[in-house]
Amino acid sequence: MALRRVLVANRGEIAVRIIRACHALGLEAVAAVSVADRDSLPARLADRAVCIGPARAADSYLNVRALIAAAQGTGADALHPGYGFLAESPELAEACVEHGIVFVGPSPRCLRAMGHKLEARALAQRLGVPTVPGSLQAATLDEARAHAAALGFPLLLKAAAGGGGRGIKIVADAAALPGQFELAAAEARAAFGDGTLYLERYVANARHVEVQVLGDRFGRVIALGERDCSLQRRYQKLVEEAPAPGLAPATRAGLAEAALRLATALQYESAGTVEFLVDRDTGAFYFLEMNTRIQVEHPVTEMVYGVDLVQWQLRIAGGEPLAPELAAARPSGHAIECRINAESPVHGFRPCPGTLTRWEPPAGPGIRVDTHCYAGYTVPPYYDSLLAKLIVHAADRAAAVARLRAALDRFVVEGIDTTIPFLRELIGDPDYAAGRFNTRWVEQRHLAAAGTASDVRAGTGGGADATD
Amino acid sequence: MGELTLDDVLRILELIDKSQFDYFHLTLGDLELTVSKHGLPVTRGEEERGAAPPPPAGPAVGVAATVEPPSGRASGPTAPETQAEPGATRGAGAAPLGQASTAPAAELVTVTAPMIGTFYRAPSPEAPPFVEVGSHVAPDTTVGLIEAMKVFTSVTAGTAGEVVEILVDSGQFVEYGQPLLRIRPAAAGSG
Repeated sequence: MALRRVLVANRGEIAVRIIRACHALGLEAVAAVSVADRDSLPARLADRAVCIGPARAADSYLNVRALIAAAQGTGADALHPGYGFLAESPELAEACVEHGIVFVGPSPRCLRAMGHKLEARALAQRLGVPTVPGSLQAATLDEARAHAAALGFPLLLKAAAGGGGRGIKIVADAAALPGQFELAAAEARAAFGDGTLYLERYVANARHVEVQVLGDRFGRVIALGERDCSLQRRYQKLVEEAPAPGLAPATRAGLAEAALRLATALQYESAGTVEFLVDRDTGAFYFLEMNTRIQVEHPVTEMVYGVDLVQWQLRIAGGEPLAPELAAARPSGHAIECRINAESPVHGFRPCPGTLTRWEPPAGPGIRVDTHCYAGYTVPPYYDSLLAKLIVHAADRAAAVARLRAALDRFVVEGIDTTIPFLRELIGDPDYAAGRFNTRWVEQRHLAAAGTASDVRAGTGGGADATD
Repeated sequence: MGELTLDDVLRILELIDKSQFDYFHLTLGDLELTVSKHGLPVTRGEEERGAAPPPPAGPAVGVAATVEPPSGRASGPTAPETQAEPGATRGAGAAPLGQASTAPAAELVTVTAPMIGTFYRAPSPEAPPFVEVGSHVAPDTTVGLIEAMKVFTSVTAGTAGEVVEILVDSGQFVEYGQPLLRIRPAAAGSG
């Protein structure tokens, strides 16, 4: 069945992205907006905007009842959840099914199967996809001690119900275990309502590499290459690129094959991402988790493959099979994305909401800017700080890095602090240009010296799975 | 933990008032205390279905209470309620609390939708409407229901006075904050 009208249950740049994809396919888009986003760009671009609740996300973008009421009240036959908020909520997906609304994403079964990180790990192991050596679970400190003795130090404590960097702690040695265990369990309980943890060997020199998959209703699943997302701060991705630099051909093929095995076993439908850790010293790779949504960094894959992933999500949701030529698609050139956030790098990356007095993004061949911002826009304080994604595409990595440097130099924002100066520093670093980095590189080389104590203490690194 | 005394509550209020926080929520057993500053909306979660809102005291504050569907039970548990919007009487959502009670009698007060959903003027298709133009209402008078996912939330007048205009039809889809009806507030003291 073909879709006609889509409720966009999100905000910011991804809402703009989804609305444009709807329009490109001849679909109507309805923007579900909170009071704070009534005059936002998505509200103006959409065919209609409906106010779903107060500014507080819990009362609007996280409110299943309000979203279902919005879809029903506006006659929408589908709902696109974007990323974040309720994108991976089985409850929203089930409510959609119950009310005859097509959820643009995987089935509730897939959302549940991959939502619990330990269960996802267990499935990977059953399928022969390697996981980081670790324990099944550790509900108590005594259990953690026993597992730790077998695994050795340093190790990572992670939340079983988790994801997104919360509840993750590095444990340097046995003496640090009790304190870190307590912290991680408390964080996991607060974030996920479940304090169960598991232990993982800590891979010190690692890259975060993830595979984009796309599946249709007819059991066809394809992989569209990989992305490197190793540049992170506190498990939050800063810069992403495709293809992953410095990957041995066998590793690249192995990653795609493992991702496909997992997605095929799940009968995965829609766009998804299988995240891996690649050990730079041994070349071994390990499954981390699967993200059952469109991801922030999806544009780098789109640029090198020449596909529109959000349009494909909508087409698959409408019952279209994947086009045969997609399976044969090969990457062309190199793409890099960096996230422009409303944060002040010189003040410990604290959020900087406020009014944009100047907003002049770069433009030109091979430059793409996904954003909901414009001069005069006031960034509300209630939501995440992502202002824009700057994406460049060029014939090879060196040309892409040069293009990104020039584009960052020309990006003018006034009125609020942004992460642009910090990104210029990262992309301008000869180590980055040479591909000499791992998941700890940003914290060790660019934040430790700045004396931002909290960042040093956070000590993130390999083995951690960043959020989207 | 012992009982919460009046002194405890006063002490808490004092601390919140001096703090940088705008919102405070405390749960002690079955007792809940929610404090908000600067007119921030107060929201309550997991309130037992059908529990009546506390009777309004002091300044008129519109309260949307959740009730069972008029006929039959909704199957299965429903999402936690978002309710008790003190801003039910506000216009654009920025009016300070208690404005309704201090507004001049000539100024009409607009009752807005406390949530998105389908507005109903009566508890069932056969029943008479909760209010008509000319009805006199108290702050806690129910003026309509809003339904979303088979859960009905009552909309209260939020102010004492006379209904002078009804802006939406029964069965109409309303957005959050949409004006529903207008009330001419009773003169001070007579409401």
